[in-house]
Amino acid sequence: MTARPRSVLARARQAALLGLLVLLGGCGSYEPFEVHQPDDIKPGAGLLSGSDGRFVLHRGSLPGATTDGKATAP
Amino acid sequence: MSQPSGTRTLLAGTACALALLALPATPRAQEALADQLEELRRVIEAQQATISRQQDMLDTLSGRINEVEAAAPVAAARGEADPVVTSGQERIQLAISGQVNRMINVANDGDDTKIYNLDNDNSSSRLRFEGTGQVTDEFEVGTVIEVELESNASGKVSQDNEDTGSASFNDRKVELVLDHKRYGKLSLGQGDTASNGTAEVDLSGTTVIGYSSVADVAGGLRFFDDDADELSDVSVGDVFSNFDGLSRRDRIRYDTPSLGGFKLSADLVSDQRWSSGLRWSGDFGSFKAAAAAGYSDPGDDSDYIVDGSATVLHVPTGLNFTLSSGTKESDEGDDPYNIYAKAGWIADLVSFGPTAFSVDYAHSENNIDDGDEGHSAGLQAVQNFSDYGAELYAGFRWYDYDAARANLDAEAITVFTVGSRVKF
Repeated sequence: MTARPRSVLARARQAALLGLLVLLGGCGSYEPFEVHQPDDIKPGAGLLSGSDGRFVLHRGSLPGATTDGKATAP
Repeated sequence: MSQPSGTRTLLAGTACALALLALPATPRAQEALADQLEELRRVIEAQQATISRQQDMLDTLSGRINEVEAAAPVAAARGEADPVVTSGQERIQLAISGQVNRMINVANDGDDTKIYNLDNDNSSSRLRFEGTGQVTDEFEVGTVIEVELESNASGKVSQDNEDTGSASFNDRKVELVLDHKRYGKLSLGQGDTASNGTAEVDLSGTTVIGYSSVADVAGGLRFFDDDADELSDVSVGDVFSNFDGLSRRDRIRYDTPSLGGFKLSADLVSDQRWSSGLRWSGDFGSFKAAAAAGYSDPGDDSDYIVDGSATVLHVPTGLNFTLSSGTKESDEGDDPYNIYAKAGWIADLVSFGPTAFSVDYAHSENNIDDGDEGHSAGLQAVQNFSDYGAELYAGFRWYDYDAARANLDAEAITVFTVGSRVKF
């Protein structure tokens, strides 16, 4: 069996990738979301830190701080 | 109980007046007596006025004490006590977070069964310091220092090295981050390269015990050679790799802002290396999906690493599916590669958090010698305790190694794992 020229296969792969990107980008309305890596610290509450999930040693007047002094989730 | 001084004065004055009235007196003496009585009346009235003012002051002070006592527990609960750490900058934040992830492996290598106490390399125990400064509403400057502290890391412990000794801190991230909402993010220092994580996108909820890097939970264990009747020099970590880009390195990295859910990243890495990554995520309501691809120049005897992964979760049912693959070009011999697939289910079985189950399979080739094959299959279960940042997990994994070399007949390794990750 004769192997196809490498350039043809490369173009086919590029076209497939491009098609996938167009498909993903054009398939209706959706909202992006943050994807966390498996080895990262999991988002959300902590056993000791509570709903913040971290101990805030110092908090200035950062935008996003709520009226009760708690910052929004990281 | 003692009488108030005003009352005593009034009684004394009245008694004195009666005594004076009882005495025989001349008109002049009676006039003098009347003057004295008038003087006494003025003194008594003045004292009564003083007493009234003091009572008002006492009532006011008592009210203020009650207000302070009532407000103190509320202030403490809100964390409004005097700060331990202060700064001259107003728009900054400093936070500490971390986790402990410990597990027990019961592993059989075909010759012997042993129990191991380990730190889980899937997501190691660590401490993280994060500083954030808000320069403008759109521009943020941040610093991250993240170190891991693994006592008996699962990637290092083996049958003949069951206790790796005291642990020391290893730097995971030491970086400066400049993040602009419209112009993207620039990161400088040690941290995730642009390609890191591109082979590890996974929405199964079971990554703490199983994901595309299948070797992590028992990477140090060595295959037993049936022919030689001894442990071989090949470990689980040698046979399996998910080719996840360049990991964490010293680099300068740029990330574009999210454009329709897409993010493009590129970096220049120490030792004349570089990598790039393309990520996408979308929440469609009933479905959540994410995908990533990476291209890296590892700078050694290989021209490139290409890898990618994709995952989809059907939110109403919790069913999910994940794929990952990667390969590394080899200047000598066949290119090593890896294929990984996982199917999972996330269920709300109990009130305190979701329960996730999954089954997966990985196939690696040519990682040590041309023709080498590695096969691994696993079962995973994770129970979340959402309000407490804790997970309890259990898993079973099977590793098989078909060595290309003629003089190695490796026995399969089976590992049963139970452990817990707690974010503090």
